[in-house]
Amino acid sequence: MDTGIIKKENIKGVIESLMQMGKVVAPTRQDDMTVFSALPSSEALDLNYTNSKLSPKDYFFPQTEVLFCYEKENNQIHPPLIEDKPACLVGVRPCDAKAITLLDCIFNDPQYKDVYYLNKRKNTVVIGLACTNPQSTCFCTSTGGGPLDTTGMDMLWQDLGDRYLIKAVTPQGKELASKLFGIDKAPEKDLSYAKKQGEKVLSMIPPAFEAEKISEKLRSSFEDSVWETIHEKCLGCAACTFVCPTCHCFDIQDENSRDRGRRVKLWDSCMFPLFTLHTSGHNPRLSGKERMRQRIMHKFNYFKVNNGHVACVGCGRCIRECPVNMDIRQIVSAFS
Amino acid sequence: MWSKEITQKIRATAESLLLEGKVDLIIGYEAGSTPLRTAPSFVRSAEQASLLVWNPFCENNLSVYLEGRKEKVGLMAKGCDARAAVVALQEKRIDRDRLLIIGLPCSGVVDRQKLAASVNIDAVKAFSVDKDSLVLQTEEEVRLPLEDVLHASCKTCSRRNAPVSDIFIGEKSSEPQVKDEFAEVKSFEGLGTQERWRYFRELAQKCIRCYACRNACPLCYCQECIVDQTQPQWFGKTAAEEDTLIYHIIRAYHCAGRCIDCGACSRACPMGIDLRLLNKKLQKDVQELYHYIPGLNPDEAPAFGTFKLDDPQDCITEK
Amino acid sequence: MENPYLPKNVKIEKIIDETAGKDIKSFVLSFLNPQDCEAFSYHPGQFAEISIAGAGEIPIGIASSPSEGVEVKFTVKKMGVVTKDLHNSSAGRIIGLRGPYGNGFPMEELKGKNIVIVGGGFAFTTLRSLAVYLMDDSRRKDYGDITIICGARTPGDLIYRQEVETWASQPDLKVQVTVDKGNADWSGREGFIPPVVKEVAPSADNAIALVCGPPIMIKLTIPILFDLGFAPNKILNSLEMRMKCGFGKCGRCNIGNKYVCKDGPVFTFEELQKLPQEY
Repeated sequence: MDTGIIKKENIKGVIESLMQMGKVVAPTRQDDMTVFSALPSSEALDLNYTNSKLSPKDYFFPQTEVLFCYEKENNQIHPPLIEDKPACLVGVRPCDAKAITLLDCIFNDPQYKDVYYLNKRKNTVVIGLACTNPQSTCFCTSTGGGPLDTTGMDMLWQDLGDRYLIKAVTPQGKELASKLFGIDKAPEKDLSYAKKQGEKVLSMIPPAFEAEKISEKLRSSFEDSVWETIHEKCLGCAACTFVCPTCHCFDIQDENSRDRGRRVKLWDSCMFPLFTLHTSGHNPRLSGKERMRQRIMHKFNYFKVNNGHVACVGCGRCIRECPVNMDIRQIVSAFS
Repeated sequence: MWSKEITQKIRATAESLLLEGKVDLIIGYEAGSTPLRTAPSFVRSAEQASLLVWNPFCENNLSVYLEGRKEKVGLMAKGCDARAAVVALQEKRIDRDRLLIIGLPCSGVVDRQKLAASVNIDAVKAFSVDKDSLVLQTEEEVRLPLEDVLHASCKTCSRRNAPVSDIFIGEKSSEPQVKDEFAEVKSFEGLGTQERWRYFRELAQKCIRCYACRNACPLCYCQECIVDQTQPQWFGKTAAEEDTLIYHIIRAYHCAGRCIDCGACSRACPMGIDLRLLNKKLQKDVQELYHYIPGLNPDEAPAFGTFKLDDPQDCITEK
Repeated sequence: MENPYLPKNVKIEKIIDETAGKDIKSFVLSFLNPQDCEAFSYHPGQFAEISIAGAGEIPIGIASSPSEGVEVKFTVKKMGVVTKDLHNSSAGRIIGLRGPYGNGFPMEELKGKNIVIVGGGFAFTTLRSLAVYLMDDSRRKDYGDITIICGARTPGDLIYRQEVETWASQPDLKVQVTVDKGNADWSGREGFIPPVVKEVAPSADNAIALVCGPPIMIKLTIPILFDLGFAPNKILNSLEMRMKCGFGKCGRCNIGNKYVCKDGPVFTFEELQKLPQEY
């Protein structure tokens, strides 16, 4: 793998060059939280964050996306101009970068392509940021990830104090790196320090469960009595699914303004009763028990069967943001 | 007061209540999965009673779990949990015969967001309470005055003890002298239109419509929330500012005269939105207009469930 | 790249009241653009999303057979926002359509088999598509005996009533129509569908049964088919689930590792036995 070094004092310049090439979406500080947003200037970049409040999935799969505008008269549809410009996602944690590859399984399936998602996806270079400071809720090592995992990235940056070690992961990443700062081989000293750092961080995230085993166990656990009580404290809100980098279920709604309007695609959640409610009043997932089971089964069994990986990257956001401390590690461990 | 002794007493009480068959279920708190969290706990057997804990991270309003239960419930209640239960009793949503209120001496709960601003929460391995201080075990010991990290709703609360209880564990907390409960509302009222509008816009822009606030609220009881109605669909479901705002305003109005300012909505919000201000403003209005403080007496008719000839009427007639 | 979310415009050519209660209507649609028409190549058992700008979209089974020509027919019950809007339409209105979606009935597998069609109430729509397809002159010889058992609550609730009556007079078809409760002008059979299936007792030899209807009807019909010797993989059902996109993205119709829109809506009973009972 090609590697290189950038001094931290030069990051600003790198970001500015990136901004000249296209939109740069990166972590920024807003009030008490870090969120991904299009950088207005290189100053806004904040790479000293543990993890962002919401995952960068919002960039490819926004909470609200206009599919098209229409006029009701004669069902006139005005297809949207789908953005086709280069962009760069900077500072993505390994868990979130990996999550993008899981979203690809859905939105880039061979039969039906979600053009809104894919246009952004194919035009976007993903620059990852290795983890140096994991949180108490992190469990990426339980779902096949780690602080230096490069899945879903074109390039990885690793914080080494006063500098970043750069690893080019894909040919696109390499091309961009050579354009920006040149890339070949970082000094041995930096490489070995980086390796040691990575190992240290890895040891700070002990695996909480074995995803493979749990996935297999869940296959025959649909009727398990664990489901009867494990959901009891769940309030049935969508905090967990909305902050999740892999949750991808959505709704489609028409929003009218007199004789015209827009059809929008918007985040939805399997935790809401309305998600499966038929017009007849019949609801196949009537209570919190069925809905919690669906969320867990989908993530750890159904998605795995269909796509080869569990739909969880261990970012821990659902644990942090749950108002009643539902901890997905504990839920799945009940099946170990 | 937060003390280990209270926790011990809670466990003993829960155990005997369950053993004696006085309740089928205790709804309380248990240790959370990370050091600075607790989680709602549903204890159905005497053996499970040892799960129960009592500490300044008991932040949920447990009355949210009362409705629709067939079992007889023992509710571990801070002042605000009990007051929310009183509102539910007034509204006939729950049955007094099936509720045993176990009053607990609350000293205010911690605002984790506020705490995170002064300490790296992830580095905390354990905590304890020493008189008025929160002691956090990180690489070194960190001591913080509890007062500094209490949730805003607790800072203006002068009803820390359950106004109605069947059992009270420990000695009642001393009620703090709150100088002006509505100071924040008053300063908000003093702002210009533009500034007040900015508050609403910022609230709406942050909201992701996860409805954690609604679902954590012990007063939101609608079988079908207005946001979920489809025929007609009253407003949009996206995170667009205008739709998000209308949701919050409607919710606040539905809670007017009922909201006991427990702050559960704010603490539940993953985006850290201060939802209380809106509710607090309506609380002040109800207090001024109808001289009514909700959640104190289950036999009293709720503010909007009663009509008095001298009720101010200018809100329902055009001037 | 084709944008799968964009509906294609169609004109409502004809609206037919199917029931006495006037809450079920058939809508015959034709594409405005010949290319869209060509691209909409379907077979029985598939569905499409009917799209009305300003009201929304609904997944509806296709009631016509491709053998009937280029017009596409949907039989729709007035239920929610979109169906109400659709029911308020007049012929000539332009609406949207996207699809076809779903696996549909396994037409290759049905070849050379005896076919037993059991349809209750309004769920008969895609089975109508199948029946018409099988009876098409050019194809009839590819299939063995065809038995159709259909019914509704009352005579007024029978959809495609006239058409089914003409089928009854065809020599190469065995048709049984029943209603739960008859009335003065009903001289036909009375009784629920499952006992009728028992009485008619179609042979399971080299046969496939296709069963669509209300859940209770399906629940009671399946054991009868088992008694007649139909194996679980020779009984086909079509599921209904709340859907949005129709092509396996929005996640709403997910049951187990299947998406009803993409992997279904047609499943063998054997497949359904392996799926969670969440429909």
